[in-house]
Amino acid sequence: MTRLRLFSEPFAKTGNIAGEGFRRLLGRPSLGLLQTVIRESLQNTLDATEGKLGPSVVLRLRSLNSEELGSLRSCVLPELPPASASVAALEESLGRNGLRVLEICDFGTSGLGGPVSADSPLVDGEAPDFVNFIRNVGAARDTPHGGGTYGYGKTSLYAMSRCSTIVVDSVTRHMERPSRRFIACHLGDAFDSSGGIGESKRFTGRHWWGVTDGVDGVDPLEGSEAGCLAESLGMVRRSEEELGTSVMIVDPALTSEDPQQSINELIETLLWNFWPRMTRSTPLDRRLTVRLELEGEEIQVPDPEEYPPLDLFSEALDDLRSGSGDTTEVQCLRPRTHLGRIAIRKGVCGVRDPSCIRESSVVPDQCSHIALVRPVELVVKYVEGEPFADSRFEWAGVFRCSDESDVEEAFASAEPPAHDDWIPDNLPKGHPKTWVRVALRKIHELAKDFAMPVGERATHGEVGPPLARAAAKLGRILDRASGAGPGRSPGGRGGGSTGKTGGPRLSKPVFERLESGGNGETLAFFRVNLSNAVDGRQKILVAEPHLVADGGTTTTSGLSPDYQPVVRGMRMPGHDVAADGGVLRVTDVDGEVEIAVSIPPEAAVGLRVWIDSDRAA
Amino acid sequence: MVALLSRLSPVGVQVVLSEASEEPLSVARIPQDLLNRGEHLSFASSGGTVNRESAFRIAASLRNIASQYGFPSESDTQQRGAFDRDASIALAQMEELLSGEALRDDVWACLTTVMAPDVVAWRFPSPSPERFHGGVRNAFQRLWVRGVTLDRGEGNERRWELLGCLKEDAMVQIFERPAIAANAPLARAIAEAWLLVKGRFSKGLRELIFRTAIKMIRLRNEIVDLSALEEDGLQCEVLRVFGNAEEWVEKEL
Repeated sequence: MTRLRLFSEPFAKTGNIAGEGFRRLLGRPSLGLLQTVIRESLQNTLDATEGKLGPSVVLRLRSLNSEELGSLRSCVLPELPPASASVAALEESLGRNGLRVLEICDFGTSGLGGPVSADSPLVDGEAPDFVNFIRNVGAARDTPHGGGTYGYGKTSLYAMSRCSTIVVDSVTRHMERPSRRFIACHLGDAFDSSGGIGESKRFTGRHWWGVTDGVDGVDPLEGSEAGCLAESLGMVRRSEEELGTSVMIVDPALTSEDPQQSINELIETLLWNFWPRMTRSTPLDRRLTVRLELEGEEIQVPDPEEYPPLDLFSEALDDLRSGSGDTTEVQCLRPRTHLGRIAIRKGVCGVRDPSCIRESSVVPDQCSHIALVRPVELVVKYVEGEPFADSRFEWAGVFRCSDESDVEEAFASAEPPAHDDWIPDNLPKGHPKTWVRVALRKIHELAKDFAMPVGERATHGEVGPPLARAAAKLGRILDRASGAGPGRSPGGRGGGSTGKTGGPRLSKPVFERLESGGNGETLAFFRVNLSNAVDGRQKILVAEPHLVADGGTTTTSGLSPDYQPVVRGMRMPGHDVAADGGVLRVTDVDGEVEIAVSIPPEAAVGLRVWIDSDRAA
Repeated sequence: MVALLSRLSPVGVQVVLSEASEEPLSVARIPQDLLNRGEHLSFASSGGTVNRESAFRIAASLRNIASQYGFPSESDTQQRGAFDRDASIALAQMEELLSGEALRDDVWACLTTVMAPDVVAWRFPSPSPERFHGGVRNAFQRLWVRGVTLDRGEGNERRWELLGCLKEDAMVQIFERPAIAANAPLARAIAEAWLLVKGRFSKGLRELIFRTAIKMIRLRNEIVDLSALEEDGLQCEVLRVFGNAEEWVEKEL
């Protein structure tokens, strides 16, 4: 078996990027490390897809047996870098019995092709994938409407490894001939060393294990020897026809020592981030197929349609793809530009898959989110909106930006290196910045307002979570059904305003308490906060209650008048401001407003509060 | 062993419907055309045995029931109502549909769009796309849900009585309201209550009282988890609401 040779990268006279700097390139992604690794790896896989069928990916979490560990120690990493921190980390990892590895293997992609040296010129039409992945930093995207933009995602692979080490095995085509390449890489800190000839030298901290290139570095091991070495580590077998890349993360820093927990996290991460490319309606040439293996046993990955709330997201995406269903256009008025469309689906909360019943799960118990995607259909992030007051119902939406090149480019450029956000401030002043900002504003508005149907909203900005949560809790107590009510705990959600910058603002009503109102009725007390209202003019606050059914609002049409909820009074504690009904006149006062609402005996009630500027005028 | 049934994706439904838009739906053309192409059709990858014949058997059974009520000739409301009842009973008992396959929208999409589009077109002259897509309005799926939900159970002498007692409007009120349709005991309790009380009302009042009661139940369901009540308690609660609805409607009129 071939033994690989270590090459530690010295600083060039003109300077290099040090290992520490390379690690920091990823920035501070808002996602967890495993999420970032999976997102970045699969994003690269999707961009490198070839052929009529979409790519397939195998994710393997396993422990190396003694032969495999022996091969890793003696053949792949026979010599450790001459840097004390790297040696300590590698020795600790390689010394573990049952050392675990996480492998991300893709098929149906182009593999890591192109020249193996960063300074080799490119042949026409050849993509320098190998040097971009193994040696270069920050190579720009060259896939039109692709998922990646910066090429920094590979940094996360090193960050995931406790010893910052990965092993790469790739089958590709180079100069129109099949080529297999095997190399190991370690990312340490910059250090000084004698370099073995007495003269002290500074090194970047980047190290590769391969075969000598005959000059001053190492190239990957190639051909059948590469295949033998990969198989000696238990990596997936590949024929010359099975193009693709396997990346083995040595000693991954998983959040749990329990492999089943890690697998659950993998399933959740996969589906939560890549469901748009895994749904049944995804065209075959774009569909991503994923297999999961834990210690050699295959673990079933559910379809997104079977993984609530992704079933609703999938339906919403189908609406966008087919152009049918109820979708909303997002437009910029100046300059008039089509920015994309939003589709939203609602339904009864589906039972969550066991894989996402964890404390740290990113999958919400009650979904009220809009997934943001570009036409490449990879989830950038989720915008959380207002949930239905009745937690038995949920909604999910998808915003897909326009595929018009300028607009798509604007959203792609607004993404940070981890591709997990759209940040308009990343863009220079101009139309692209406006487009991204306008789209995000409209998405947030829709997310905030969707749970309350537009037709039911007051003209000046509806605010108010319904009383359903409180009423549900009360009802459960009264009717001997035990357990917590369906509502979320009140409070914690801010926002709500008249919609005019600089004008008076109202917070959302927060339920405070229930009291007997005498003559047999029950009163619910809400509180809203009025601010920015000291301007010498009178304000008219209007409070309007409504019934709640099936998680949304409903009217009293066809029902007895007993069902009509009524505002019994409004007042501002500490001020001499009060009214008997649902209209309160306020002049030059900021502060809390208490609202008492009578509750019908058999129903849940919601409340809207707004400032009626027309009436005030 | 679970028989895995053929499935048709939502995109597949659209393809078929767009291809069929210019000529009447016929059983001979669409299935063969689509089956030959194999696009958009699939089976579950595991969990049972692929059975290509099952869906054809279900379709043939539905066609047979339809033919008892005039299919393929034009039908009247009464004939269509009778078909709905008999088809609900048949679907609820079919062995092929006793597994999780019947819970899938794409299985029903395949049955309506590929296997028996002619029966759908007979039952719903000028059918809308939602009669073919899986979901609460799918032409056959709605019947299966009704049958399974309103089944009083094997051994009951009047096992299927509830299917006959509810008119189409009442069925829609129950089965197209997600909070009720998703709660089989509640849906059954409503049907049982209706069977007990409907004789008291004149024909003109029945629909109004039923609609009012359903609205009251939906409101009540927001504050009381009706599914947590025992069968008797639930039945009493639903009957009480029907009483309130009756009282209010009579007072109002």
